[in-house]
Amino acid sequence: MTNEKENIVDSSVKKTEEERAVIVRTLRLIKEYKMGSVTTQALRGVDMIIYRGEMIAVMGPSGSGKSTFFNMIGGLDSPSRGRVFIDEVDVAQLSAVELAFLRCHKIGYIFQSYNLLRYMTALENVTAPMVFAGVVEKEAQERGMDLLGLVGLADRWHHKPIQMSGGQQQRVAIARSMANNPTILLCDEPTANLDLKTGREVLDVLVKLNKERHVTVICATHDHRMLNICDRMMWIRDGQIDRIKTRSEVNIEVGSIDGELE
Amino acid sequence: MKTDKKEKIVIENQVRLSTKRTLQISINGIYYRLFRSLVTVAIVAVAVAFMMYMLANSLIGRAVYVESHSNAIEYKVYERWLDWIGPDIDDIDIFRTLGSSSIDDYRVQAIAKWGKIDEDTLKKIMLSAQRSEPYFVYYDELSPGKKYLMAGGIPTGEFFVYMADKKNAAIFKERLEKSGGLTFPGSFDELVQLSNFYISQADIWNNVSSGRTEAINALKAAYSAKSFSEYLADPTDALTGDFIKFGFADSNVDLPLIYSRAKTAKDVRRLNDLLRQSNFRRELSQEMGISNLSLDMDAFAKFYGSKKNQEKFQALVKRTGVNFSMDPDRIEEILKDSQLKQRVMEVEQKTLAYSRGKFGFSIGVIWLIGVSFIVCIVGITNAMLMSVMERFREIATMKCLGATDSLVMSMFVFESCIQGVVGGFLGAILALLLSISVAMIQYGASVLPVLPYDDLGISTLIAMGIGVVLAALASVYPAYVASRLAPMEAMRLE
Ligand SMILES: Nc1ncnc2c1ncn2[C@@H]1O[C@H](COP(=O)(O)OP(=O)(O)OP(=O)(O)O)[C@@H](O)[C@H]1O
Ligand SMILES: [Mg+2]
Repeated sequence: MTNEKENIVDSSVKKTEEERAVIVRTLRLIKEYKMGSVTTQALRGVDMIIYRGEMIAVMGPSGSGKSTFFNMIGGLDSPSRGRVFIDEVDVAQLSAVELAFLRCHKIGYIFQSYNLLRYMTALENVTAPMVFAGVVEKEAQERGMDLLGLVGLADRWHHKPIQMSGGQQQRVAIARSMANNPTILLCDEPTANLDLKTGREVLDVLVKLNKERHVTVICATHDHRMLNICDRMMWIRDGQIDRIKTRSEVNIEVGSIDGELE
Repeated sequence: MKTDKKEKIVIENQVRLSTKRTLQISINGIYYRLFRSLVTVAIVAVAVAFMMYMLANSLIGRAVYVESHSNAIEYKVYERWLDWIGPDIDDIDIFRTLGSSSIDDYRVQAIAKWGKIDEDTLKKIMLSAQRSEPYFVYYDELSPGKKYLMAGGIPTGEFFVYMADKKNAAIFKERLEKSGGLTFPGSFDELVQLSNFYISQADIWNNVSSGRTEAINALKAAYSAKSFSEYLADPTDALTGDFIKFGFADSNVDLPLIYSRAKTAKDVRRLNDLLRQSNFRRELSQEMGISNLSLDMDAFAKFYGSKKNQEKFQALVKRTGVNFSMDPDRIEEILKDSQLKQRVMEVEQKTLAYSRGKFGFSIGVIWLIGVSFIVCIVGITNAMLMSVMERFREIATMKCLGATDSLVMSMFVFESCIQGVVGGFLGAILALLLSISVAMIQYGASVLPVLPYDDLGISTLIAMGIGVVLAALASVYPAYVASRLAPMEAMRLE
């Protein structure tokens, strides 16, 4: 890493939050989608700080900009204006190969629609990020089997995605997201396509990863159950942060919250 | 596996996988999507095969034409010569003979004598006739519809007379300017000038015509005892001498060949007459085990192929007492010859389209090759575009998992090259085998040594090359675009 990139860090924020290390920080993040003459502002200046090791839910009505936010901090799409820092690194400054490294080693992604490579078996899906990282095949397969064991699918390693249920596919996707031991897990509505029970299983795995491996989990979601799990919740409305609450705060005013979830 | 999550995030360059590893991943990719890959390969193969078939077919057609044409010339020498001593030669034929022969040719010399043409005039006429020949060929090759539109459909023999008329020429010019197709071999003005020159020599044509008629009559008078072809089949030195005297041959003309063809023709005629005698015909067809109606030269030739049947035939001749005697081997020989002649003429007719025009092919054949080329381009491009575009989501997913742009690109380049090579190879080979088989069915197995193997080899390579290059080009561009987009942008492309 170069010195230049370290200089970009905003030191004032760092000092005030010294007791907790910052892992993701956004500065006046704006994303506009242009479609012909119409411009939609999906994000209108989001300033957000996410700390190491926490589990945070991003909530808000449909179309409020959760997925857009998710894509921005994951380096999957570029912001129109504003900045994203991943642990002091300005994502916009990264070259294509550095971005590939970031996606490969530092961030794991979990999508609502799983996005498994449908021609590959569960194990091959899980080891794909390791292949891209240049891990030798034997080691990749051992680690892949470990990860499948972690999500409880070791005996399904040779199954193709279409041979598995939605919950199982999502758990394969989680195992895959953990392939190169990332620092951050980004989830975009991981339980939206699942029924209550399988959703529960997926959430359990996420909690386990957060607690046991200290992975920072950032979860865009509609799922009520997140309220009991996450350390903090952030509400987005019309592309702006509505409010941010800790779990203890939420549980006190639990009665009034239900109506605002959707 | 437990790691300390307190460590700082340090960003490096993503590793570059070795070429070998990349190739391995690409081959795995093809294997994972084997069915879909096979479909792509099949489409490439069909497209290449279509083009290759057209190409190979045309090349084979031309080679067969060249061969059969040179074989047919032997038969044509006889027929052309028969025409020369026959009544069907008209002024235009004389003019065209002057345009396509050298000055010491016996026909040119005879024409000069009959027409009382002095040497300078002869040279002048011959020059004009030479310049006229391309226009005759041009008019000859026009389609009947075009002939009708441009010159009222008159036959080639009347073309110059027609064009010498001012009004006709004006119509011709107008239509010529409007129509595409065959390229006009010279200038319209030259055509008109040559037509008028031809007309202006009418006196000479009259002289030639009467001189020639006189000569023919004198010859016929000297040999009137039996039909003229009988004399030809059984020639004497005196006959040869008279041919030379009357201007119908010189010592250079292939008279022995002509006489031998005449003899064959006579023997064929005799055999034909025998087969037509109703009594004998009935008996023979019974012997052959076929119906009376389907007994013809071909059937007889097949029957006569075996020694046993030859004996049967001779016995039948004896038993029925018909007036026919011919050496059994001679019968076999003329049967073979007449079949060969028929075959050669047929094949020459069939392959005529591959004999003329640009690149040695007629316009129609060039069109076919061109269209098949375009179909090939469109087919391959479409197949490859499809196979890349349906994978934008996959590209996006791979990029989310840490694949570099160059890895994604390399994967697609490798994959499409492999598909292009396999498809191109299969298609080209398939088309080659198919076109050779079709040629064997069309022209018989004897076509094998005539095939233009060099040309076919080169065009196989070209067809394969086109398959590979097109497959690579058509997939590389969209893969390049998709690989450089941010993953979410690529996903949106679907
Ligand atoms: N590719 C795009 N082109 C144009 N507009 C877009 C695009 N993607 C998102 N938007 C717009 O941006 C806004 C935010 O969309 P986003 O997908 O982030 O919402 P979301 O909060 O994830 O919604 P949901 O809960 O339904 O997933 C919406 O108004 C949407 O219409
Ligand atoms: Mg969304």
